[in-house]
Amino acid sequence: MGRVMTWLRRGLCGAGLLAFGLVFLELCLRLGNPQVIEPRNTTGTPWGVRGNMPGLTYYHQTPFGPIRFRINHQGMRADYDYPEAPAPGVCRIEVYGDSFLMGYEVQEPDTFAQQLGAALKARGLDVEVLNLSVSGFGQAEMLLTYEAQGRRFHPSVVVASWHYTDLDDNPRSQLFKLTREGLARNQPTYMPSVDLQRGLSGNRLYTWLSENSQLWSYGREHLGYQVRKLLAAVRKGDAAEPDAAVGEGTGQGAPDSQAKALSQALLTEFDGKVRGDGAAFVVVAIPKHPSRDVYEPASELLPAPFWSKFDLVEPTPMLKKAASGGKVFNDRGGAMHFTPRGNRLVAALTAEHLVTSPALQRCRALPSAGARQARLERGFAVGHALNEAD
Amino acid sequence: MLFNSGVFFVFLLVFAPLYMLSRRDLTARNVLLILSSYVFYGWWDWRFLVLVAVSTSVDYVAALGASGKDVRRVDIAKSGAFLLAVTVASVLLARRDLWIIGGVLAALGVYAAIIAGVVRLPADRQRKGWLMLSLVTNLGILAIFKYLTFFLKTTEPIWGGLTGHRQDWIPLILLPVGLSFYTFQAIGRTIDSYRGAFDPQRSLVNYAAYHAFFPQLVAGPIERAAHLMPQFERLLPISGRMLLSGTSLFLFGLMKKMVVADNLAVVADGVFNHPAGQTGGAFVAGVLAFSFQIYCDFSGYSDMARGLARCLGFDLMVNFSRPYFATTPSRFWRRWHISLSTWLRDYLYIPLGGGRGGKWNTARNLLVTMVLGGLWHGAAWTFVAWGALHGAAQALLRLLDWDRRLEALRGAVRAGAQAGSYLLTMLVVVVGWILFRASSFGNALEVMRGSLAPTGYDGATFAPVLLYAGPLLLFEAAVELWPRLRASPHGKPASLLLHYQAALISVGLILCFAAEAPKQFIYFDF
Repeated sequence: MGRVMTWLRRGLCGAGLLAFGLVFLELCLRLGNPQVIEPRNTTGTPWGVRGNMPGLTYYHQTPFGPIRFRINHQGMRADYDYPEAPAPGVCRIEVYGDSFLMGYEVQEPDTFAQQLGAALKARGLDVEVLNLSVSGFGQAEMLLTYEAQGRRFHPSVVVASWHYTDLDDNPRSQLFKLTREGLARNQPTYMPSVDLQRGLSGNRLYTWLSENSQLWSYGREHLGYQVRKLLAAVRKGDAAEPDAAVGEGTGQGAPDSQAKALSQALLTEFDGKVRGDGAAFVVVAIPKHPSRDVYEPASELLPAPFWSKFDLVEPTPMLKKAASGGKVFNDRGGAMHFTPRGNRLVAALTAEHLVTSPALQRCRALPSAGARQARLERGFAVGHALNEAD
Repeated sequence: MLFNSGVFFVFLLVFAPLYMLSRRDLTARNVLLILSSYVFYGWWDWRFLVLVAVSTSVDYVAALGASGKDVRRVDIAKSGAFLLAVTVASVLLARRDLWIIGGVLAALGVYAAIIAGVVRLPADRQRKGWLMLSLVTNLGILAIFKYLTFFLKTTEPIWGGLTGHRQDWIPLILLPVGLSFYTFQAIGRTIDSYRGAFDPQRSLVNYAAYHAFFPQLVAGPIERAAHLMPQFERLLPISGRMLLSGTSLFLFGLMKKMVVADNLAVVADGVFNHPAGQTGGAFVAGVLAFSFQIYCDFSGYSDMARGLARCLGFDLMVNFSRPYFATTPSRFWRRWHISLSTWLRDYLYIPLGGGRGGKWNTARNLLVTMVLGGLWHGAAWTFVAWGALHGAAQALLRLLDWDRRLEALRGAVRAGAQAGSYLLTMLVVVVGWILFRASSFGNALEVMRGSLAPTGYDGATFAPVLLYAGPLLLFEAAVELWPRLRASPHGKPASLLLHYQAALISVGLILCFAAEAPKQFIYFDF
């Protein structure tokens, strides 16, 4: 009995110390290095990749306040569902990207998609922008989502992001591989940790921690980062094998070259599919942002001649120039996603590319006097976004 | 594999349970230690495991022979088979450079011939022959992989005419991580065996585990066989207290590295890499930042190594003892990189004559030892100059009999002299760090000249140094002033709660202040 009591006492002491330690570290983070709490809330889709949990409303806790996420029943960040056919005279633009274009750390009206819609409307185009971005997406997942879901909504333009993380994301998903014949499907599905999250999401403690604990969020982000790094290292080791799935028959030696070749093939395929459906395809490059006024162009990760085939929006020079003047386009206090100002600027640049796109000209409406006035005001806002960068 | 990398924690997650399972069987434990140490080292580049294996195989038999023990054929066969097995495995893992296997087979042939020669020597010379085999092998590896390129570049003006002064054929040899550490440790063991200060055993498994022990393989401490080797020859108890104090020490080292060293690296790099247009204050701040960066980088690694070893039941020597509170250069070297300075003392300074033969001979021996110690740190003239500066300072003070005179003083005079001596010592140390960190003499001169400019001495310039180094310095000052705060192996062990709280504070500081861009350990380059 005495022994049991001793162990019980020890167990209680251990649990108490553990609880004290966790609370202590939570306080340390909250006081010394506040973290964003960004639960991802993704689920599996019938087409084998991740998607936002349909019909869910949740919040991200950031140093700038809570950010509301409303996911419609079609898995898009929107307050309402979209009919499959657009309204007459309205052009649809679909946005595919990762957390940047999904609008992490900004409210929905400040997302790239909403800002792009506002900018084009201000230029007299009647557009509707559907945001099909999902945090963590690379081109492989974007392509499959477009094929299975996006094309049902009849877009006139598809905007896809190109981010430096895609070089890791695309090979890691193993959804596609390069063969002698070109791009080919590989694994049927890629839904990392979806089952785990589905299992855990029913657990109240997990839900509470993921929505409220900065320590939990910090640990999860860092663990995820390290796991991704490890997988990338293992993948590079595998890819060094001449018969490895990625890069098979490409003649590419270094693993990085294989990742680049795969990404190029995916972008080309995506472009071909979109154009085949009669829509325009635009790529927005999301720059790497290692420190306050350093922006590294993501487009430079792939060879310049490759981009000549694409309608590419490269905001890096403008971001760099404006950031050197003290403007903040990425949340340094958060997870470095775009601020509303950053989204506005990139959207304005994209709108500049699209405003003369033949794919959108049929949507150029003749506005009423009141609408003209409203557009003028919005136009001023768009012009202001671009002027801000100067 | 870096201690501050994610992959290392994955490695630990796999290693720890296996170690706990194997720790009650000596062979199983040591085999696991060999395998895990080789994975730890090979993660960087599998091919260089061959060098670790060469050093292991040669010193295994060399130490036996140098101690006067009979080197049996089975011992030689074991060492050759070990080398061959590691070579094949590492080449297969690296998936390239198959020629290494052929090279090692050829080297084994030469090795067999040399051994055949050594065993035919008269008994009185045989021990020396084995010692020479160890010295030539280890110093040969060092010479080729660390100094050959430097030597060829330095002597190019002499022989360059033969190639039309084309330097493109000078090989750029990759320096294997930790080479200087494990070769010195191996040499030390063989010399101790030769001197009779250590009795080498015949278990190759135990020795290979000792030689490649991953907590200290790549950046020390350079252990003495008499201290560490016996720990590989018996089972070690592991208590909860050891686990907690080891974890606490590891985390303290990690905090020094990630919070202090990596953040100060930004300040130091800014000055040394871009000296143009910097103010005098910025130069001084950069030099001070580097002084603490290198201290926290290296002592942090040593703490991590000791902490990790303690969690496994091993005891590694203390490598740093508040060096920035040393009042003379010789005392500084009794507190800085203690495992190297004692190695240099025992295997270089004393064999050179040490303090015997008068003041001038002592000064010469000090100078030679420190210059070679400087060269140990890196194949560059700036390291030689750094060693020479420390050697000259120590030699000068020895000629003046400074340490003894300082001790003889009393009262206020003594305090004043101590303070003056401290300031001069720190001046030597800090100027030495300029040479150590600079990419060239030109760079060093630029930083030294810049530091004399009376501009830019404002709070903002020095804020990062004060913020990151200040608290650590205060903590060490407290430990220096109150000996009761020092950890003593014979004193009352600190309570579990204290270790727990220390670990929590270290983790808290890492969570809040760790540098955004982690850096590699400086001493990995040595």
